[in-house]
Amino acid sequence: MSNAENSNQYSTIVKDGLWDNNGVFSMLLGMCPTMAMTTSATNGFGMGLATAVVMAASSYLVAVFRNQITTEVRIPVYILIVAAMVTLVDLAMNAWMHELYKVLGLFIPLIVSNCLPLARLEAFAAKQPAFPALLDGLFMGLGFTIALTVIGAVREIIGSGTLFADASLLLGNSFKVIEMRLLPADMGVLMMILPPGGFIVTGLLVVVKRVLDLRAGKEIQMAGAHAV
Amino acid sequence: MKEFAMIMISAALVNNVILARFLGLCSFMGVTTRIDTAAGMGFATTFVITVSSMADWAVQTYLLDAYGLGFLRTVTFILVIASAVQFTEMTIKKVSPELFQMLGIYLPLITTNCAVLGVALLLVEGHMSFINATLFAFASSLGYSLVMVIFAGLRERLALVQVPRLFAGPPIAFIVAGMLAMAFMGFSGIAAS
Amino acid sequence: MNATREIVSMSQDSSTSMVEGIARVVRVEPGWAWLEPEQTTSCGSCASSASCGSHGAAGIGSVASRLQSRRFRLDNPPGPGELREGERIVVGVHNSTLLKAAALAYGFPLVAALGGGAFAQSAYESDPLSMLGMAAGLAFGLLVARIGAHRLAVRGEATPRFLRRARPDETCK
Repeated sequence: MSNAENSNQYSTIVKDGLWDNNGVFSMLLGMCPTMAMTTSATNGFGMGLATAVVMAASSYLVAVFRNQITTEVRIPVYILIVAAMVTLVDLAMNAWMHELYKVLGLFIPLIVSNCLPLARLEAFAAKQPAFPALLDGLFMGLGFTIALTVIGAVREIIGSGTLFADASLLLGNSFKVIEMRLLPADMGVLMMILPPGGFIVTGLLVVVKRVLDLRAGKEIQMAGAHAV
Repeated sequence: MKEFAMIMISAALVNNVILARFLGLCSFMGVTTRIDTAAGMGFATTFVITVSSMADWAVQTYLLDAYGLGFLRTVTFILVIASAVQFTEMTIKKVSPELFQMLGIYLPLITTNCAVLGVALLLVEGHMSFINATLFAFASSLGYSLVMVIFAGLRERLALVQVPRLFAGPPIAFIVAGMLAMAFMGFSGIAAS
Repeated sequence: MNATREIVSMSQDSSTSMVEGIARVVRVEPGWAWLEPEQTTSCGSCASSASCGSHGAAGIGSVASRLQSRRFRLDNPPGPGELREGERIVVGVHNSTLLKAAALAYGFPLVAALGGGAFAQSAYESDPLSMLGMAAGLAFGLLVARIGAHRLAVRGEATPRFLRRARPDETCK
């Protein structure tokens, strides 16, 4: 492939992962952490980053070994690779980002059952060389992170009036500068931080993406990964 | 006795697997277009969750804790669950090929979804005894099935209604699920555990 | 509008009392056709899509291999309506039959197992014996499932019924 084709492919991968084929808003995969861990923008950001790391690492590994993995055992191997990466991320977060680890709790091991990493491994990393696969995993994960952060921010602003509260606690002191309070404390709509808010905000944000797609003249993804 | 009842009510209704803990959402959205498939799926998932949770408890207690291999928890649980699912299918196929055939065509395949793994992780983190763990798993999965059937009924009604085109499909389903979650929040008054 | 058409067809589905499933013809023999269910996984995405196991490349534990083990036979009388390889058809079974089947296969054995375990636990108070009680309950439940399924099959309710050929845009739902 010539250099021009390469860079074209890379930019497609980046755009697809971040917006066009966004894991949450277009493909509607990985719903569990999306609704559970977006009670604040920081939590959403942390969850998204953990998933992005797992996706990038496992995509890279699968692509590197894609010729050695026979078709018969590929599903168990993919699952084991993702599980191993998740274990590494889990242990690392327990050691170095303990506060965030306590907040995310159960949902770090649950990255294994998240449909998004496995779907990308099957659809992309198994058929591509190492570097494009790494890019795809990374940017799908970043798109996931952006989606989670946006949902978390919406819920946090309407729910408790702050934005990125506890960022310094969870991500390190250098992040203290982004903590802000946008609304007075008693104006928050508590519902938004509770489970119903998660469902409703996600639904509304899918509509927002459809409106944006319409304005850009693209076809609306009516179904995501499922049909109603 | 009362303790068992409280565990079961708390697992099934107060901390409902789908509406409060957000586990199993992929199949919640994907399988609930008809009440019958949702109910069938509920039965199947109840079986799988209960059986694999018991197996996971045993593996955690007798293997991982005993030999200090706690860090292998994620990998081992996934393997146990996948084997439990395969084992269930093989058993049904052996016991009754007619049932296997029928369930195979009309019910979606059960794969490792977050509900199965999530319930297992919840049990071991709660350090429960075997009886409590089994009841917890069983009650959680009953709560899961209940919510799936209710939501399927809601979606069947939703399908008969005119919905704005932008909202059709997943968005309106999410919003209705949010209202159902609000309704289930009413159970949180039954405190105790 | 596309959305309205989807809504209208959904209401037609739920007003009949049959549960529908789509299957694909994989092999034709004289008088019979072998079909493979086209299935969704509990992820919600269609098994025939790229994201959960591609057709033909069946590995251990993959969706495709599990679908292959679910192949079934259907009557294929020769004549104008004869099925050919690669066609997608819709088969149906009654609502109540599916519910009974699921309850028999999964519900009853589980309840029997838990009941057996609880009974053993309260009577003998020892862990190994209560596990034994659970196993006994499970075996009993599976036996009942086998008998119940046989009765369903004898009455002909368990066989999938050919309903129609699938429209090209009809999905697994």
